[in-house]
Amino acid sequence: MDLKRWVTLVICAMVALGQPGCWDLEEINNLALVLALGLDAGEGEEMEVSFQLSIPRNLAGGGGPPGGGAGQGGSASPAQQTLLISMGAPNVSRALERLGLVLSRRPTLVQNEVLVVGEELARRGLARHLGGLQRLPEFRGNVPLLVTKGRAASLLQIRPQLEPRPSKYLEDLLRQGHHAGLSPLVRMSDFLSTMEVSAVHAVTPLVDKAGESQARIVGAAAFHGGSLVGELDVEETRWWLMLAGQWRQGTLTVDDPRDPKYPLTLMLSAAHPRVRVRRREGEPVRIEVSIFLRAEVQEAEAPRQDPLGPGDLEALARGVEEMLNRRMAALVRRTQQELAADIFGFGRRVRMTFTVRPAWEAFDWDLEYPRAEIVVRNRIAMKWVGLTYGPPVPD
Amino acid sequence: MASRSGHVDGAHVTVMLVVAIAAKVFVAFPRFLTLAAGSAGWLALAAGALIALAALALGLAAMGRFRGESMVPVCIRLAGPVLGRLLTLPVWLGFLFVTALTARQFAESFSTALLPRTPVPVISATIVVLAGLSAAAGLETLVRATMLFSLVLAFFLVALLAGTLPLADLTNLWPLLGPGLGPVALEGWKASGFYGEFFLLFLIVDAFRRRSELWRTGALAIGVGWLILSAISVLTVAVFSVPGAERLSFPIFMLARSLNIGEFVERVEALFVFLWMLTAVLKLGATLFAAVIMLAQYAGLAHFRPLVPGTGLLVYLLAAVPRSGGEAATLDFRGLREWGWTVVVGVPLVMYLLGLRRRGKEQTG
Repeated sequence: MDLKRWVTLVICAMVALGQPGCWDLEEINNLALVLALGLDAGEGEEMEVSFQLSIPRNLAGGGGPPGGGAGQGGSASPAQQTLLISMGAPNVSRALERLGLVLSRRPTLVQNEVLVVGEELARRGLARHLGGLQRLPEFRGNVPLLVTKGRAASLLQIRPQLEPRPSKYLEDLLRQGHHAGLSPLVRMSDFLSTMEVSAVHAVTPLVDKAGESQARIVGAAAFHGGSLVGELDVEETRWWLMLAGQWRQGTLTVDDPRDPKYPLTLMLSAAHPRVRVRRREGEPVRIEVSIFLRAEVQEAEAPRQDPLGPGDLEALARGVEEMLNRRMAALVRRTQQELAADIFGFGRRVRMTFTVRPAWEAFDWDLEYPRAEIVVRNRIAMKWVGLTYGPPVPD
Repeated sequence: MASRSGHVDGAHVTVMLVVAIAAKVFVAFPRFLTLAAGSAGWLALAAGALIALAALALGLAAMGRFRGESMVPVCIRLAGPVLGRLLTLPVWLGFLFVTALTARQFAESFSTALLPRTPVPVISATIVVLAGLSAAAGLETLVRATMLFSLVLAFFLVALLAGTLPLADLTNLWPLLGPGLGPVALEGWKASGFYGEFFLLFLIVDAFRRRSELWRTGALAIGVGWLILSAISVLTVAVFSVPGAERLSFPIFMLARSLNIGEFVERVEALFVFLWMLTAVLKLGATLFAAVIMLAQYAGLAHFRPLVPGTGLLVYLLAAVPRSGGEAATLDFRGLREWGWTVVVGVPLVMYLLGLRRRGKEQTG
């Protein structure tokens, strides 16, 4: 072999041997995996940061029944699968640093599954804290974000029965809630992008602790400029999902328009809001929102002698449309008058009527939104009556 | 599409140029483009591509009369031995600094995102050594290696685009003209500097069998380069919004981190590390090769390989000059590319004018 080949071989060997990470080598046994991160308001400018850490020995099945441990200072029994440690710190990095003082392993956020923010901190404002968190290379921007009524540390203490760890339970609760049309699903990076855009204001799921083993979705938290400004209940959250184009499929139970004494449950799918904007100099912006929904009767109890016919379905659809129009309009009014926050993103469409950014910025959508004339129109296409044409009628 | 010995295929060179032009999306390019032109970055890039195409046409027209000769000998014939070399010196400096600053940015990005404890000079040295090996292997090897790996690059890029598209909000691209027509036009003019890698084509004209392939190769490279630069920049703005895109140091890495297909495909950014490293080495191999063969042409040397270690060392040292990765990115996109248009437009224009003058003289004579 000539010299040139030897040199090439030596260089390749050096690169191959030196590069794979002599410096960055880290045994997994030396890592403490943070599964959930909780942020609460602390004293003064400080936060209270809660880390839910996995106890790998017990997660692997060697421990006892599932459950979450809680406590300051890191105490946990062998049966616990997770360990909760909370501490005051100005930011997450400082809290991680302090966590390193009590742990025998290096805490890492690479496996973080959910980010929980306490209500008080959310009211104070999240821009600073989440913006700082986004810089951490280990922290993944696509973790689901939720706001909890009360304190995040308290929510992370639940001991779910169905899932092995609280972080997994909360993550799945949000996903399931979103699929069922009950809750928004917001990743931290979505929240930050929305917060930075003047055409829309952010919304996150709002969750409350319901006993020792459960959490409950109680609606959505509305933000303005990164601070929590109001809450939507579960019903309003559904209207929000439809208006914001985030509704996929879900059931909706309303008073039966044919006989309001009885409930009527519809399976509604794929809302496609079409937003039309008319903007004239010196006049409030006029926005027309048309939502198209496909519906199927899932459960109807109103006793009828005749089965549901095409005419009945039409009447039923018109009745539900009217109800949806009313309730959605009420929510829109509330966001205009009480929250002064365009949480639906209508501003995105208004922005499309501008050709240059300076003109859009001068327009000031935050000021214009409460004055805007917004009309909501729902259109429901009844697909089918469901598995039966009507409920059984006792003889 | 096989090439005869000593020649390269136009399609292969196109792919190499596309990689050299488009590799900047892996570093801070989308950020600086968004800072300059907001949501209208893709329009500025389109204008820049058109100007670069015009410059390419001018350069090829100037070189047309000197069949088989590359840019340096042509300039020496047109402007004399001293002025001819001086005329092409900005191009050489451009390749040298682009190689150095890109190496530093890639090294910093690896360090920040993946190897936080590995010293940046070690990563930087690894990249430069690999680029040097690629350059020393010669044009034929370089283009064939790029051709081979381009399939991997294309696969990952398409996967990234498809995977992050559901996260995109295209209304973030409005207002369409961003800061306004005037600023976008100005940025478009400057954006021609982003396609400066096409000068490599002027240096390897003797490797083409047919002269007609030159224009097609260069034009296609600029066109596809524009498409990739635009696609990633548009996607970055659509996913992170204009203010968000302005804040990101490595937008493509952040896009890769956003990829989530249900609960099944998560944390796939590790796969993109291969793409990242491959692109760095292929791009730097091409630009280092350009710098080295220009040196050889200045000195009238028949062989360029002895110059590779020295030029590689110079690149490595230059890469160490910026005090931080941020400074390297600012020097690249705010310094070098801000004035890159003067080289991209100026050199071919001067060559063309000198060619006209010479033709006029010949006709008068």
